[in-house]
Amino acid sequence: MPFSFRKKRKADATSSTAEIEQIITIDTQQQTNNENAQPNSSPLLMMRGEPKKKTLSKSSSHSFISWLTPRKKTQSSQSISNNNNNTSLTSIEDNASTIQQTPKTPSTKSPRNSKLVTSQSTSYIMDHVERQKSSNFSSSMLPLTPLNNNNYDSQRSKIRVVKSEKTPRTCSSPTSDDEYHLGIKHSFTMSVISDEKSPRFILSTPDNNAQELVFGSAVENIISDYDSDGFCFSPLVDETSPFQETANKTASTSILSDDQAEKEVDEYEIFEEWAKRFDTTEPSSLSTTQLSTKKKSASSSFSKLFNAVSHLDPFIHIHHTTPSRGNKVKSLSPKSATTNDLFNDTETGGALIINDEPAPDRGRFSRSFKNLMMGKKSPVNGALSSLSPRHDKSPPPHTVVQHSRLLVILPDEIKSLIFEFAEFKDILSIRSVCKELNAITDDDRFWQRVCFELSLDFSQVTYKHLKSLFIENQLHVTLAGDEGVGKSLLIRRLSNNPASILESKGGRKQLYDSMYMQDEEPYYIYFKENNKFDKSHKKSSRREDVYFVCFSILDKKSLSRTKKWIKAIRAKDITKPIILVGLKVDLRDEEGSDQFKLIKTEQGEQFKNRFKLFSYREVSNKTRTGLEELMRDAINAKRIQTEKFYNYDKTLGTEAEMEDISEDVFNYSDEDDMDLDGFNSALPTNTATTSISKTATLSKRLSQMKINFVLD
Amino acid sequence: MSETKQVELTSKDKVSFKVDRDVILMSGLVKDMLEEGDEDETPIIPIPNVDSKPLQKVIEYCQYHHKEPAQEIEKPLKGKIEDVICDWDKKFLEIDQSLLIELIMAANYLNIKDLLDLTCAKVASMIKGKSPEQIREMFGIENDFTPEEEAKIREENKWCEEA
Repeated sequence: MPFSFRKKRKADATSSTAEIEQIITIDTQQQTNNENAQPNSSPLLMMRGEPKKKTLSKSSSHSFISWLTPRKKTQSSQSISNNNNNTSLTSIEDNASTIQQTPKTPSTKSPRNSKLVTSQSTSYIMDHVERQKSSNFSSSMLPLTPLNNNNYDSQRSKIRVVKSEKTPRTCSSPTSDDEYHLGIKHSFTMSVISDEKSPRFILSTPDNNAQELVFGSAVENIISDYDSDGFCFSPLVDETSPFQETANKTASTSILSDDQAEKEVDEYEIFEEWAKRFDTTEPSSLSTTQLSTKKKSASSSFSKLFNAVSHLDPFIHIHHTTPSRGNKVKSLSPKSATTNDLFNDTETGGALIINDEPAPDRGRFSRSFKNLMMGKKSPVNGALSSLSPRHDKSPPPHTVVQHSRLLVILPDEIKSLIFEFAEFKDILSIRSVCKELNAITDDDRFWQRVCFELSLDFSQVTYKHLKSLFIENQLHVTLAGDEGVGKSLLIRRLSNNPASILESKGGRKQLYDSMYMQDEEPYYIYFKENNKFDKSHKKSSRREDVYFVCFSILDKKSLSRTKKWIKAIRAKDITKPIILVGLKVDLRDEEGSDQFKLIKTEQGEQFKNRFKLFSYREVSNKTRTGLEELMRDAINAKRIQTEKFYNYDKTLGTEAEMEDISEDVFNYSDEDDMDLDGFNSALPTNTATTSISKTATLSKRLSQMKINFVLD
Repeated sequence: MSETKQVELTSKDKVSFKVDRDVILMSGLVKDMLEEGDEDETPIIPIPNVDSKPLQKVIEYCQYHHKEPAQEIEKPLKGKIEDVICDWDKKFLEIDQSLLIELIMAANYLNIKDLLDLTCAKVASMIKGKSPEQIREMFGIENDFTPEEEAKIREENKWCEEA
């Protein structure tokens, strides 16, 4: 179905020196005139300049952009250009069923493209690689990949820029179906609109997605969206152009009113006349889409536009321009129609939805830079690769690139290198920045590096693995206990990742992390220590999975005070597993120490049973005994908790019962404090006998209490 | 003598720099080219991908560091980059962002590892401690995530933020 629109914009009566009529035709279908019409849709894009007026400076040379075919070669395609030395052109021509570059004389027109406009101009090919010798055209191939592409490979389109001084010319390139993207018969059409507001492109697809882009950000936008292989130009957009002011107004005038449509008809007629005058073929070939703009002022802006275009490409050494800057105007119409006059029919379409948002960033580098740097060959030709634009004239005041996509345009390898210097947390931030950076950080290699960075011993870890590790298999352990029992040291011992010790400034809370492997599953463990549970702790929303309640076997008071900890923890969340940790067990083996002063293992077990703790472990920071068992318990506790295997019926009884128990625990604990304190203070001389007897008494008392407790 | 040997580098914008051969040998690319090529008096080496400005910086760097090899920057970078590099490098890096990026490109192209590390570390240092929003702002990157995707990533990163 033909996809056509016409557009005319009135020029301001400003002081432009020349008029330009631009007719851009876009044919998504076969060209009717073309006898050799190919099954493919063929966009036809025409531009003509007003031949009579030559007052334009060189800088106002007319350029022409046509959206050409993808790179893929089709057998059916025949190159039409008369003389084509350029490989890039050949590639296009291979693709293109018809590309016509009209010779100076109509007689030399290629027979196939009857409809194309002849150009009498002394245009020259501006192809990067080399000029076509005899051709009237100047063209540079600018490959683009279509928007929204999923398949980079199959969808590569090109923009051809034709520059000529004064003559009208057209260029058409049919496209093969499969090449325009996504397996759907699509062709992109690109029109150039120049009016008093700002030059811009309109990109549209047969499915009526139209994108209007003000020039400048447009190109950049395109560049940014596409696979790097295809790019060959970079926009140089400066802020000094008059378009800047008007750009904001550009918003959304692309839907033509009826009046405008009529005027366009006039334009069309003019075009026909014009075409006849140049002995061109019937304009009927332009059956589909026409966009014509005729304006006085347009000419200047148009020329600026194309100067800007030429500016994009360093290989086009034309820099006589005022660089233009425009706001990006993006429009997308979700309209699903297959046909259509997207632009004329406002009702069916609402065809253009235009967001007037200023483009915040302007690239100075094209990604083809990457190609160069990486030694990749540009898909079309090495020559296509192009680079950073130049400022010819005095650089505008805003040349300091504040909003260039600096990070994004770097080659991935370099980005990776940068990220290697970044710390783990920064990388997580980077992940959230944009898709591209996120994709880079998704790489398994990268995550392996992160593991390495974290001193983790997971050689085969994958991103998914790590993700599950970090998100699911993380364990927040809070250590509670009196000062001096050795919590801090225990954490240091448990933490196998000294590099990532995080010490908060508060002093009381310290964060450490660690990695453990259990049952071939990695666990990421955070440690935090609390010296006292205060109100702030109760309010704290910090995640806590497992508690270690610590005491020193040397200090009976610390054991007694564990009850307070347990009470506090249970008060906050009764479901959290608590592991009782007896520290400094190495003292038991130490000769000469007073064994009777030490808390026996049985006592700890009794405590554990009495308060229904998850487990009791004795560890030594000094000899590092028991550390592994402790961590295993912690992970098991976490697992049981998460997998809901934690059967309260088994361990604590029913929930109701559990509440009772906890109350009991609290009741008892106060009592016990008294008792234990009394007990401790009742050890005046620390004689062995008294210790033994007292200890025995304590054991009895404890067992008795336990019995009572159970009975209760 | 080799000391007097010079190499002429031509930047993309046709600016020529004469550099001592020893200096520019820091560049792996130039080194390879010199080894392959004939022993001219002053071989001219085109550097078609590098503008004169970054190229000048590169040469500046080489001139300083070919005698004093730069210290290796540890990965990941701990703290600010200013803490780990020498004063000269600090001053050297006082450039705007665009030049920095060009410098990275140039270092990459010319294969000067130390310079590449230095500049990349600089960028990493710039990123350090920044929130995603700040990074976007700093580098002019557009947020192209949908709200859903963003929420997902935030969820993924939660564990870290909690800590």
